[in-house]
Amino acid sequence: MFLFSILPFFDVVRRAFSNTSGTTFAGFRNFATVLQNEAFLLSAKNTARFILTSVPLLLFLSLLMACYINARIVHKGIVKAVILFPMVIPVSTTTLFCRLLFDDAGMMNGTIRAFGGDPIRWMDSGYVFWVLVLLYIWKNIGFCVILWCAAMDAIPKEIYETAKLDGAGFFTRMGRIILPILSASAFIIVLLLVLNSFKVFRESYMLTGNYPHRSIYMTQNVFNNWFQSFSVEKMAAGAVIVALVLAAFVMMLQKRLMMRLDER
Amino acid sequence: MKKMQKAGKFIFGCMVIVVFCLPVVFLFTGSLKGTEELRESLGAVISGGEGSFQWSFFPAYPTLRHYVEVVFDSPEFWTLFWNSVRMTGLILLGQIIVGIPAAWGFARYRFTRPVFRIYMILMMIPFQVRMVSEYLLLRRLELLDSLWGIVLPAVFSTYPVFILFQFFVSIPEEVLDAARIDGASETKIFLKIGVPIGKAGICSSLMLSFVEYWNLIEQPMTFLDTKSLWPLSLYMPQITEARTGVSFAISILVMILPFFVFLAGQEYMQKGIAAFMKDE
Repeated sequence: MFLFSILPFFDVVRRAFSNTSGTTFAGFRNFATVLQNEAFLLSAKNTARFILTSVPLLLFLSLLMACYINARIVHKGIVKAVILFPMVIPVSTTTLFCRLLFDDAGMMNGTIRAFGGDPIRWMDSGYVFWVLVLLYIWKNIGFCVILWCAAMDAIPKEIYETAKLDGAGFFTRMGRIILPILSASAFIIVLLLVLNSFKVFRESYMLTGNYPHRSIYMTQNVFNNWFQSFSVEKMAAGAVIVALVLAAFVMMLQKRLMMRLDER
Repeated sequence: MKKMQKAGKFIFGCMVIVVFCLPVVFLFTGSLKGTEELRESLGAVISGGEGSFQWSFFPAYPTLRHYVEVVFDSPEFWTLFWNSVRMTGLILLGQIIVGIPAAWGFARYRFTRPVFRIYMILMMIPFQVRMVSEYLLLRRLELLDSLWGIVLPAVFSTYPVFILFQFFVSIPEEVLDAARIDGASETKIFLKIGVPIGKAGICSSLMLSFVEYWNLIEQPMTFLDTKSLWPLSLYMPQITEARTGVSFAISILVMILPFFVFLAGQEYMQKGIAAFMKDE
């Protein structure tokens, strides 16, 4: 049963690799071209920067929020539902709003001007990177908070109570019990967040098109533009490189995950 | 002290609601405004004219004109809407047929773990990276520029399998052994034990898939040349900015279906997301 569904995927993998050289074998020439390609390098740098900025930021913010929600809030369900809401808002809706917010004469600049500041060109400067980070966090924080909450719920109450009885304060409990237990879950959360971070391209594309500002020229833009000029060999080589980097990353995370799965 | 805590909670709640629902409220009220009123408050943004941005959340002269225009006077809206519905529906159906047995297989048979690893790596790879291989494959199969060219790759998507895997893997092997001793076949075990226990997981993976595929942008943009085949998610950018009210109305209409799905199933969605954390 399950073999039936895996086979097509093997085919895709096989193709991804066999297309690297096309009909004739080109060795590593394609890889060399890609690695020397300025656009590719820029985009790789930007993508790495985006992931390295937004994922830790999101992890931290959502953990704070999850702690607060889990400990203090009465109507947990409603709050969680509300923060999940951005996930279902269609990309086109979000981008329309963003455009109103961050346009040269948009709301943000309106506010700045009202306070006597100088308007900022959000979309054509380095700021657009932060707009994107903000958008990503806004969209994914609900997802993330729910993951954290689930992880916290899994901690047996007894441990917590015992520590409390033994006189451990809030921060001790936090640092000694909750964080160590959560660090295991953090692996999966990071995995999912990185996966989701690639999807921010949708918003980025809808907002800025094929050639956005340098600071958010992502790997996806490169591939898109290569696709339009149909440079298959470049794309395939680039694809293999990205896949390898991701694979290395997943392996790292997986080692932990699989170890736990195999313990069962 | 108690009072301060209460106030803190209240402020927190308000902030959450403002931050996460504001765009929708904003667009909704905007969609009810007349063209004149919109031009006055948004003119600077859209046409680059002078003047700053003002906004009131209560339309001076509420009107449903923009909605009427979209719903009754633009047949293309409905074409795209049904495209979206058909596409998402077929994908979800396919994922039920393919994904559930696949996840069950991975969860129950240990020797498939190496394959599952490959699966997880595939899950991480962004679409743009797979684009060429998918394009060439679809061309060979002559599925380019057709609905099936979008649906088929999505049916074999790895994400739902991963979620379902997490649900299935937590079913203790002893239960299944007991069933085996009672003489149940593997198929029967799957249908009578696996599916009912994993029901929440199935619902939640479908929820997440729905959100994902209702918003599909890259694939249709790349693989579909014929505009009449496009899903609703691509409709937006074509609207000229002079018709702001209409585009506001559309952005709300696009959201309606996901919104109700979300209302109906947000509990499952939470469960599904939480499934990643199961048994940690």
